[in-house]
Amino acid sequence: MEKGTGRKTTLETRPRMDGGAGDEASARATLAIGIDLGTSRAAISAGNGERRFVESIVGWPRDPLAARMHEAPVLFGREALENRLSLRLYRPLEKGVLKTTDGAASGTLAEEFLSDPEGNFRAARELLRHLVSLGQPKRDERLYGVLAVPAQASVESKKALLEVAAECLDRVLVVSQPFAVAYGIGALDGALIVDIGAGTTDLCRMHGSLPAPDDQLTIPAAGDAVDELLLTRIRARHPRAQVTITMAKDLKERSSSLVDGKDRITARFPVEGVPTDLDVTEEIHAACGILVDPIVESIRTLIATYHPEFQDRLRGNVVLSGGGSLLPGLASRVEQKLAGFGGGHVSCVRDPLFAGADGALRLAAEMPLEYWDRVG
Amino acid sequence: MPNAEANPAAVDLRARIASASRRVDLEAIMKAGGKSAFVLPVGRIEALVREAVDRALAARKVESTPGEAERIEADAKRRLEDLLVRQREVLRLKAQAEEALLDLARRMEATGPGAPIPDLAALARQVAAMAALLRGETPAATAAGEPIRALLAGLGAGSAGDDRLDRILLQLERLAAAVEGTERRMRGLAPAASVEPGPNAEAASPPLELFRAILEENLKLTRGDAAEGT
Repeated sequence: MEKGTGRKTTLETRPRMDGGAGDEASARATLAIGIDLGTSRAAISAGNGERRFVESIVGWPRDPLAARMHEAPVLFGREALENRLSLRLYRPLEKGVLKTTDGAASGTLAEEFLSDPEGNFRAARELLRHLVSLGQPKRDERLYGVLAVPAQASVESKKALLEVAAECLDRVLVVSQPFAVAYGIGALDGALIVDIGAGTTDLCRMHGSLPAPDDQLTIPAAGDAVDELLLTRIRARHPRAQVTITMAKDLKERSSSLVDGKDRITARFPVEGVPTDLDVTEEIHAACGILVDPIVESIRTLIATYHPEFQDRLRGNVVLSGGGSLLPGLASRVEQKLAGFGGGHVSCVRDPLFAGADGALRLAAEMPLEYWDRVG
Repeated sequence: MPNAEANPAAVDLRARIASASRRVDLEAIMKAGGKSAFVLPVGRIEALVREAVDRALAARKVESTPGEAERIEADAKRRLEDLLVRQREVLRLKAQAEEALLDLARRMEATGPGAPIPDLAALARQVAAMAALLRGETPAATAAGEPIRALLAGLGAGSAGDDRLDRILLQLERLAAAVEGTERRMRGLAPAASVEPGPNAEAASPPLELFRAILEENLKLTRGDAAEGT
């Protein structure tokens, strides 16, 4: 009878996503969770309908005065960034995985953050806990989560992230971000996913089975690289302007474009303490433009090394996702460049901020419970 | 006040509404099972039932517990029936919502001189959001609240006293809320698809082999024998 009950449980307590009262009084409710852990932003989609994101930034008050002022032991995301002068600030992920090295180059976003490995690990743990809490699980729910990480994350990085995630989830699996996106949109066969994040751009061709290493490429042409080039260009053209990497990133998120137009783009930066409007049109176009060629080249590589009979399928279904896909004009620019290599159709996911988390949630929800039971 | 009938923008708006209504294709949603936030992946459930039955039959060969396999089989079938009944309830609500949207389109068409002209761009966005909700691509909570109120404001309902539109939209809002409530009751949301269904939209539910492969990769990772890049 015990075995029979077990089988019945397997069938009837697949991860329910409402977290509400089920029809199995004996079964503890299960909440499926999808998490997309990005360098810049982390997003969660939960089976109860909660969808939230937070910038991947964690800050602890520098001293007792700061602790009293903030009235919180730890701050996250934009709130942490805006109060960073009184915080010890961490951006625990680098290129989408746990940062394990100390130090940062000047002119990079990393220089604004502390980077000791132990602090990064603590920050990642707090960030994940916070993210899971945003999913609003009920106290007694079992949490089954799928964590989407960059395609080329090392084994050590994945293990470290699994270890951190296991502290706040009952069961956790890790998959690559582009695979999670593909799963979420049902593009499991004949599609090429290009996930443009902050730290990396991950490309993955889908052919109806789990992608192998040679189906995936990771390149550094991504949001952070755009921010850094934008900062360099602005400093070169307006040497007296006081611009930080965070200001450059904000400017990019506000005004980035690859659409040709006559409108000039201006930004207000202090020049010797005086807020001054500066023309940054060329700088923005140049910085955003650095994404195009590496992405096109990588798409070309993945198509060229694919089975020749199926190459047209891939080129006809290139899907951009991630924050970078919000860049106006990027899809058409990539499509134009692909025309020189036999053409292609490039589209963007509708909700790039949540596409990875939604896909991870879908996977968590559809994974049979007996498989979850095998996860330690 | 311009005449909506004679206004090319209004004609364009009606076309958009009609198009949005047509896109609420219940048949397609049924076929694509699992692609919609509101529709259960029936194929997946059936596969699970079959799997459970197979296991039960296999167990019968080696185990002596009388009636165990039959109980599992009967229970699995009961479970499937229960899910299908709830599935039909959701589809009925969706059909009602679709009807209300079509009704709205007809009323818009019949709008005469003196009727308020909405902000067309805003209205188009709201209609698209509503259609996305009905197709199950948007969590109901985000589409059924503010957008509908914005839609009402955009149509001028409440200001110029066109209570017909007001009623239709409130009906739509109630239906959306009902769909949302049912959705939550039956299984919470399935993740919203973030793009238009592509060439893979007709694909069947993911095979168990895929889940197994993901599981194996993760088990290798925790055992320490995973290869880089997988």
